[in-house]
Amino acid sequence: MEAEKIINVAKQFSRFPGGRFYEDGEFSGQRFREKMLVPALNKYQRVVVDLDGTLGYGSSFLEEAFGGLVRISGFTPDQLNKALDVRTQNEVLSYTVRHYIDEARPQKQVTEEEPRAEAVA
Amino acid sequence: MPFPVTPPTWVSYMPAVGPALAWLTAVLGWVIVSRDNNKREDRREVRSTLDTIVGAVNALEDKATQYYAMDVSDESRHLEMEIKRDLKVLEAKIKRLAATDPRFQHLQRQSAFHNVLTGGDFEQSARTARPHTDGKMIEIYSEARELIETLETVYVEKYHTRFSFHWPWTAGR
Repeated sequence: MEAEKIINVAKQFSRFPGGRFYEDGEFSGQRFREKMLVPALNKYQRVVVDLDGTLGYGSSFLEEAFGGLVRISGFTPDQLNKALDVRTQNEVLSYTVRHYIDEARPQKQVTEEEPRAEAVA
Repeated sequence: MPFPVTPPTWVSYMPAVGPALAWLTAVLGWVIVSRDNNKREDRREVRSTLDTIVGAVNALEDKATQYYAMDVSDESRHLEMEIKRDLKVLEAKIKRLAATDPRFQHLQRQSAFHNVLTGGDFEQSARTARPHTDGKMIEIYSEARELIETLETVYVEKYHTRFSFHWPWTAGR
């Protein structure tokens, strides 16, 4: 694994990030997570995300991009605390991102084995 | 013949000490008055900044309720940009205010306000208009009031809580 990757959202993604899902816009939280964050986290030991330089962020974008790492993409908050560094002059944003990561819960994945497990119990 | 009175030793120092004491008193007085003036000016400046911030919070509340009351449209997309931009400006203003007292930078309260305005179905194409009685509108109003109340409380604690003296026999009245 390579050492560190810096992602500048304004320069490498968009100065106007917005929306939660693909259908909400070209620069959605889902796109940012799937096309930029997850590949970087899988390739580098440490990923630094620079949030400055954009028009601003909606919480829906931030929750989908960062909370989604735990809810959907399979990362744990501990893994992200070690591997992900969010940098910004706006402390409200960094606080909010940390909050979403810490509060996110993996979405329950229904598997074929679950009904058998319940039956045994 | 009057009884001879020998003055105490310290009286002999008075011609030298007296003028020095007068100067010292004048300088101390100037220091105290100057400090009080500076405090008063600081307070006025913080009050003025706080009034601007309160106005910005109220304006954001109005924009957000207007936004959530309309369906997705060009106008709502424009409001999305304005709300995000205005939140960024507001948070920068509060950060500057927090340079005077870090208690103004209440991150949890600011984050809650940011979240209620731009979380949930904000910027989603599937969003639909809500009535003004919707719980979302009440949440927006509530978080705006909480943020303002938090900032005002810090201001009062900083500038209007003073040491006050009471005679012992008036305690409890």
